[in-house]
Amino acid sequence: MRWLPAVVAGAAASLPVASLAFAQAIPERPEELRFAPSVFEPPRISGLRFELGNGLPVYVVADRGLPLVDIVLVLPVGDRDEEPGEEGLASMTAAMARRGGAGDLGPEALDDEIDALGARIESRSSWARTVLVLDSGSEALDRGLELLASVVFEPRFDEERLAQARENLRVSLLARADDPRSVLDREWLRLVHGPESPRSRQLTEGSVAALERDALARFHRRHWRPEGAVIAASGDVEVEELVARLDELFGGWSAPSPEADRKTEVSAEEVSAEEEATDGASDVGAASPGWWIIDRPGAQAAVAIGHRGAVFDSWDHPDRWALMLLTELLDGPGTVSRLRSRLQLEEGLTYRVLTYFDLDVAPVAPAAVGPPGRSTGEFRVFLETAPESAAAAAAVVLEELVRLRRDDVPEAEMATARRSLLSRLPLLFDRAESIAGRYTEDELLGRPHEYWSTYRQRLLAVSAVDVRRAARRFLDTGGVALLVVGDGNAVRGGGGFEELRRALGPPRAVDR
Amino acid sequence: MRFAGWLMAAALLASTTPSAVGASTPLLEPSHFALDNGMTFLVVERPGRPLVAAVWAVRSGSAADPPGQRGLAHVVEHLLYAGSRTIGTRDWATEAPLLARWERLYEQSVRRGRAAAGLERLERRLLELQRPGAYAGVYTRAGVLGVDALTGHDATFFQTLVPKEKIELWFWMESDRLLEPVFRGFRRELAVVEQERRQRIDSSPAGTWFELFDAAYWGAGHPYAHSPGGERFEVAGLLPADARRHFAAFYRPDRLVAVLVGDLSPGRARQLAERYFGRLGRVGGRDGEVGKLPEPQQPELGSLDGHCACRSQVEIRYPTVPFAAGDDAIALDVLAGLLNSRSGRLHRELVVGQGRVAWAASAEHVSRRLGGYFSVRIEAGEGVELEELEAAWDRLLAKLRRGGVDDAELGRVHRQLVTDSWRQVEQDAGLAQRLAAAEVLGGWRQLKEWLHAAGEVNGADLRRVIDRYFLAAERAVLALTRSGTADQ
Repeated sequence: MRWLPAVVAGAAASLPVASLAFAQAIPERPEELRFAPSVFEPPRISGLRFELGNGLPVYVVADRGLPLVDIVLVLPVGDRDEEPGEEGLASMTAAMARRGGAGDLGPEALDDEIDALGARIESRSSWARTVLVLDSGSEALDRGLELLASVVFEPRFDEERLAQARENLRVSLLARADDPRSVLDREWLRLVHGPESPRSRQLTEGSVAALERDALARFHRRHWRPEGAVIAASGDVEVEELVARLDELFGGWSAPSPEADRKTEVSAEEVSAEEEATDGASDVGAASPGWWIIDRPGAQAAVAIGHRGAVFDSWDHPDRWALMLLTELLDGPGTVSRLRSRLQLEEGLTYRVLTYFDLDVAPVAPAAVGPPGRSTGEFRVFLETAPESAAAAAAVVLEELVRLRRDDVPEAEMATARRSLLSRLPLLFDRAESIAGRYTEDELLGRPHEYWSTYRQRLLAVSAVDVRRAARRFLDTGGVALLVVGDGNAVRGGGGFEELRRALGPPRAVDR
Repeated sequence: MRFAGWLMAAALLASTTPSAVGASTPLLEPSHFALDNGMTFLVVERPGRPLVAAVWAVRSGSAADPPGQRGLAHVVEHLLYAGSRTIGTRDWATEAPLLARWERLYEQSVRRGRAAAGLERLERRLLELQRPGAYAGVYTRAGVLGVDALTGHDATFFQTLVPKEKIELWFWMESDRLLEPVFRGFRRELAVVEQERRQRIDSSPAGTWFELFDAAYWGAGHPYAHSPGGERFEVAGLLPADARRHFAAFYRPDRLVAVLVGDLSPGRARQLAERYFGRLGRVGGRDGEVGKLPEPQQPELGSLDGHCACRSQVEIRYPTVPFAAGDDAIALDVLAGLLNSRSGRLHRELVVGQGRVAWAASAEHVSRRLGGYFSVRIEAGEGVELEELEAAWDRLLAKLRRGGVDDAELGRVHRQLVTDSWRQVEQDAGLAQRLAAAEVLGGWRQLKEWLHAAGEVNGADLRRVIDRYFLAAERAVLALTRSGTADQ
């Protein structure tokens, strides 16, 4: 049954054989191949957006290719809405809404029903979002939607399951130093945003113990509200039928407690008012700049270097586009980018580098969280390498940042980075689920849909001068934090140490 | 560029079986043809897609590593990104003799354990002639995405996402590196492979133990006893000539499979395939000259106890059947489904039930070309001893033997397997990978036929495989006890 030898040769005849009478010569080099121009146009938004009775927006993209449906409800709620001492509350509320039973169904009965449909319902939260996903076969959609609504509106937060989850969380607190990467992630946020920033808050034994049923129910009542929520639907659906059904289930949803205070409006990444910024952009220096080290034995060192992300007052801000290109130049996928060429191809120092630069737009102010004018996002270059190469690798990164501030990028390199960025555009819209997801994200971020139709034009307009200007403004080489988690002696004895010490000062131990 | 993810490849192959889709979808009815040289092509035409998911695979992986050269298949996978006589060089005519000289010096250096005179100078000279990253550069400039490769135990995969207008570039590039690859930058690539190993194995709290357990379970000398990442010291001793020998033996057109999913007609695909891949030599030579894949052999079932800075846990393994072994394999796949998921037996009885002992638990049926096993992994709850985990599993198994499985439970598992299968092929890249993996291991048709067969598995089948394979005397156990954290 599972072994079907030699099926291929016999089946070959089933295809029309293309004529080879005009067999073309193969060009010497790939650059000689000529292609039809490929200009990707993002799919139009018209006809995809609906509103339920209460104004809740729904994006629906039908695709009948497979009998699968995805329904995603996104609420603009997350860790950022926790008060000090409530660390973990948003995530636990999201997790237990699914795992602790809902409506008439206890936890086991709910699991049984969902699994019997062959469906999945998951609920989780992050810094600024809570996401509930129903993923089901189309024939099970109707019941799946009822269960999803039940999870959203009537979670039971079963005491016993909650106690187990609390216990698991407490144990994982004890084990969180096991993985050097998670150690780095945690301490890095404190260095970049400062110990007082909500981004740096960590679970504690106390905050875990406080995750009781009442606290979850209160958080749910207060923050799981229709305002700002969006639904994305995709897959094998009858559009009108689905919208009608969603309206029955979610169209009457209204906030139970008007006093509930959501801290911010629509911006995905929490940002605050820009008190002094005059050029429509924020400051980026790390809260604790310099070189930091967490001494820890191991074959591999984890390295992060960077500072805060940038915040702009408009999606059109030219520096924002320039920074997108700059990030691509530095570490776009493919080995043509600068960090990969140097760290991987030339020096073989690392298996991979990961760079990201949060470029947020905050049209809405003010917010109560974080120091003024500062992003809660990051610019970060992360890599892993042998401890004795850690300083050398970090020095290469720093050197490349300095170079971007100092020299204009050659036009050929600019062109490659533009093409490379543009080439990923289709991937953002490659199937129904991503199209619905993309437009839902627009709604949540307050990003105009036209952003996508002008994307190409805007990227093509970025010049080397723009990149250098943005680098000088937003790559704060004097304000970077460098954190190395690894064997301190090996790091100090390795190559690049002196060079790095001169640039950033001697490494200091992180006070944990 | 993300090079090899060989651990992922293991998971990809392991999950090949449950990736079947109902007969209703045309997605699993690829057009298929073979070139005269034996290379197989599968094409799924999906009009309107901006990108074509293009994957090719070779029917051999780390199981083909010769003794003393564990990791060779993975190194060759990396080296295939170094280019060809056209790509990756500024001047092949000048580079070629220097490269040959460098190889001689490098061989001497490895044999003597110290760098031969002039090696580094020559390396620097070569670097001036070479263009590291040129292969990826051509793709990046053309907007090709997702360039990646995976070395598994039984197969090696090379994948990309290509703008549909530029699909001919893929044919050019991939046939070029298969036709006349040049393994330049050898020493640098070994360094990257070493970094990959540190990152994937050494930096993971239990990574080394999982590797050691594989070695103990299969037994010394078994083709699956080492991970595709290989053995550090053996990798360091590899020479370019070893890599070329491996390439010549195994990357023959009759061992190659290509899968294309996207807006590309089968007719056009065939035309391009014949023009470009038709260049690869027909299979010649006698058996002695080509790569021989190892024959199946029984695992040794070695067990292992250890400590690590990880959650205390056990993995219990039972030997089962190789990939091509018929109905038992499918029943074992369904059994894994019955144990997994929130309503599954493991979660119910070990993780959340009254007598719960575990933080997490999962089951997996792994069937490879040369052998298979059923694995149950249980991570201990706070304060729970490892013996209790094994005892809890034994109780669960006894209950399953005694009480069997009712229709409602089996129906639930069937429905979950069906939708899971659809999910796995929802993305074109996923479909392409799974078709390639299926074709390499046993024929692409098993993707859809598996589901039909899985739907027919009944309680008696489950009882049969439990009785046949879940024998206390024939199991191996990895038991890891938490030893505290590295920096505490």
